[in-house]
Amino acid sequence: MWSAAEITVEIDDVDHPVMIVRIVLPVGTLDLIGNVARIGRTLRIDGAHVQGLTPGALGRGGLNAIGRKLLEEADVDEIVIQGGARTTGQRKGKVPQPIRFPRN
Amino acid sequence: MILRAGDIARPVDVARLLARHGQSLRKAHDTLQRLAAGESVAVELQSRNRERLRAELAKLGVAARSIRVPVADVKRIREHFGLSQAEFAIRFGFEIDTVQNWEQGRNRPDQASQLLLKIIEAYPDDVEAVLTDADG
Repeated sequence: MWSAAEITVEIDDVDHPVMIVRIVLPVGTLDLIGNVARIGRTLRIDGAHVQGLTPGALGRGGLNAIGRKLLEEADVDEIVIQGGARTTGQRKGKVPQPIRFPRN
Repeated sequence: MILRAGDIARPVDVARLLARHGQSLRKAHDTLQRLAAGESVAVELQSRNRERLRAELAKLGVAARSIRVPVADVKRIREHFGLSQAEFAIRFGFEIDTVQNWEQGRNRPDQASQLLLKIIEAYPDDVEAVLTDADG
């Protein structure tokens, strides 16, 4: 999958603790909004919403590549992303399971 | 405005749009969270062109309805029920002087009273039930 060098992460807007982060990938750009908090060596992103890629464009491999990049950029040992309630699809209104990226 | 979510494919753009129209990004994120959870959310947004803002929100999957405080014609409402000023005041919990002042144009009902008068006009029995329940 993509290397860290192929992914760029930019902070687009901040109103602490809410951030909009722009993640530029070889397949397109992903925007993420969420409530960002660093607790010890863990970065938590709560109420996360994303947009910008067609469903399936990322895959688990792409998601892991983003996780590795965020671990590197934030210099933490773990990232926990808790998505907000889904805004489209069959599971609209449901809160998804959190996604964890531990540093291996 | 009262906002309600349809399908929001670009949630970050919804937050950006709300932030461009007066909400802090933090508040915009909170609004987005509540919309995503299925709530209808009352917000104060700044815009010189409400219709354009409404269209932009609709394009992003958010239905927006404006809130307008209705204008109530006290005398017309009272006469519709065939009540004297005193009867109207007693029945709906107003001071008689207040009703007289409204009808004679010495005072205008404030926004909450305008709303109450319109509710009385549309649902008189419900208002009466609330008022009599309050007595126990």
